[in-house]
Amino acid sequence: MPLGIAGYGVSIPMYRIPHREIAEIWGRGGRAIPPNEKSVAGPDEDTTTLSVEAALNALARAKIDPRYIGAVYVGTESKPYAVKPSSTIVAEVIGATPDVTAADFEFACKAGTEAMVAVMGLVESGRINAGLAIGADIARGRPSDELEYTAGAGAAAFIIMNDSSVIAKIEGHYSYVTDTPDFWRREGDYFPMHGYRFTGEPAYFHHVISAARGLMEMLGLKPSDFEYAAFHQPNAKFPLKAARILGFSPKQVEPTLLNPVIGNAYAGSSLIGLAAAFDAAKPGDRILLVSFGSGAGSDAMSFIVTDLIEERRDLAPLVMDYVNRKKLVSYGIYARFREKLRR
Amino acid sequence: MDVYVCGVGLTKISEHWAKPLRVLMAEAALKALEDAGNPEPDLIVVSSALSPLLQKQSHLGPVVLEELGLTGKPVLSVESGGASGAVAFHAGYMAVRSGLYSTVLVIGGEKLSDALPMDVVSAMQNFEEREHVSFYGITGVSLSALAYKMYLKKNGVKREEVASLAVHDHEMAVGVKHAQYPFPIKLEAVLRATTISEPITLFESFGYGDGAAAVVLTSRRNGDGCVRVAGCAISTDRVTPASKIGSLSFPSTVKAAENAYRMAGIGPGDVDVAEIYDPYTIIGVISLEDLGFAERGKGAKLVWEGEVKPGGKIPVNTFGGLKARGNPLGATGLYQIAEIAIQLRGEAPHQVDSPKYGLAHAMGGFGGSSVVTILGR
Repeated sequence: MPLGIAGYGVSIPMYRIPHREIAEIWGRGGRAIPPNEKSVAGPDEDTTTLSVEAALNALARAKIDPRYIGAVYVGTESKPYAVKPSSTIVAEVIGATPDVTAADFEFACKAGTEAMVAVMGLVESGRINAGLAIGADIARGRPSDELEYTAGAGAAAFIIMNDSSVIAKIEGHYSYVTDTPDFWRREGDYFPMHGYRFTGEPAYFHHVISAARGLMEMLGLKPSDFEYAAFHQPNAKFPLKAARILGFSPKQVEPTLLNPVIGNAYAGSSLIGLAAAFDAAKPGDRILLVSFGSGAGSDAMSFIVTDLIEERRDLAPLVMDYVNRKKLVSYGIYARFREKLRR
Repeated sequence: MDVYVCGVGLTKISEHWAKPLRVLMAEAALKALEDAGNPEPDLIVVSSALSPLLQKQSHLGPVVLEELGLTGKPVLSVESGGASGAVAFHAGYMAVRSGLYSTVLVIGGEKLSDALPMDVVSAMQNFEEREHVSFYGITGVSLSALAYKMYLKKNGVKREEVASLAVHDHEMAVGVKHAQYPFPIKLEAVLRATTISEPITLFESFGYGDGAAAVVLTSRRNGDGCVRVAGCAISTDRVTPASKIGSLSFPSTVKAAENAYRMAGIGPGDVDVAEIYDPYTIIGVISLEDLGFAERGKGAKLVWEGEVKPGGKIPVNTFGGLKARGNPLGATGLYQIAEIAIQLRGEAPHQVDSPKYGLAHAMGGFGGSSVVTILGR
């Protein structure tokens, strides 16, 4: 029986703020600003609400009883509670408790794929029948910092089973991790810090490229074997540049490239890209996923889409349904929603 | 006693994320020693402008010596802002010239990528006097921007003419192995780039990079690769820069040049190739005038009319200058001197036709100190 994805789902907040609006507030209006937007979570949204919605969408596609799920793992760096799991809230709301293992994963922007790797192990070993892995974040960027332009919000959930009813088989996985401090948030700090250009070549590119090459070498695959490639998307440029270095064409990446319209959903970023690939894929298509988490590491995975995709896809909203459901907000409203004005 | 430059060693200027400063400096030093035929140095001089602030490493001399396996040798550690490398060279020159030492290894290095950009800016601010100048937030680029505006207004010069020095630098860096940006750029791109401090754009400013340069000074000419130090002079000026902006001249450069020319027994007209200090285009233009290569107010014209290219009146920055070769502060002065030595050897990618004399000019802060070094064939 193939190890694979039985159901997937995403959730993206409806509010958007354009880069231009942020640039004007911080006196950078004179520069050429790309027409990009980022998603803004509303005042009643947090990582758990986004995770629950994504998980319910995944359950709808997997068509399984939530009590069948033996693990709920939430990967995030924006837990509502410093101590108290987000995963228990999600597990309870979707009806997976109490016969379940639950935990929160932290590995900056690759916490979601790290959760997937853990679930894959439990499912493949036969310890559980099905597991739910989620990558979700409401990203924080310090006002006026470069990060503020892209720090967005969103979640993606995947139900992993070792079963013939999967929409995509997991062909293989390879992780590449080093201790590279390119981005971090200390205990007690509200906003993260980053190492500027150090976040590029020695961090993002080194790990993304090493993981992708490692996986392709392991499976004996080359870039042209993939229909789609979803990379972590800290901005609109990095994933395209990584793709070019690896030998992928923009055509393979663009359908998964959501940074220009929703920003960087951190642990949800590459996974929402993967969901967009599933939304577009035909049976038999091969999809590459490469996450990146600061600190730093990348998980690369290869999926082969099955015939079931056609009947399962429309059981829940598509990524583009969420992207197109939007309402623009001003910097003032955004500042209130995201608690940048502290009372 | 004559003093010779008998070996040079340069690392590529880049973001050397995985190499500590001492390793970069040792690499350059080993290259220079090899180039000189592996003599045993009896004195080492090291320079870095910011290692105590960016690497939190003071007392750099013994640290670099340990990396080189030269522990036990005497070492001098020199810091003099952006002129650090050139001042270290001067110290080595004095040591050999005095007869106290016969083979001196001079190593300059800087690693800016160890720090966040804002920390590099605030560290460089301290090249000016702390209590009355840098404390108030004025930076090298903002001072240069004021000078730039005054220069354009006073001399009726177009911005393009000043900015064209960046285009020239990039053209010269093509084919230079140690250059940070070895590719050409267009004038329109320079003018259109993000403004750093009006009117200075990003492409008129040096980029942050890491690098190390080393030279070997000897009391004897031991091989064809040796060139003679014809003159080397340091001069200083007040480190309160307000007075200098109005005069559009750096008195420390004028005085250092006068003294170096006198030592060499030549004038500006005898110089065949020069490396001038241009962290921002306008500083390079003013320096052309301070060094006597152009009349007052005519420096930008000289660049605009192509007279700074090989074959022109005074070829400058034939390895890319601070803009395109790069400016790893404490190493820059030594990169310049090494490049002049390479020109005099006849081994430059953009070779000047059989040069006899070459000049290198470095400056600390906004003209608080200047060093002019003249090498002769």
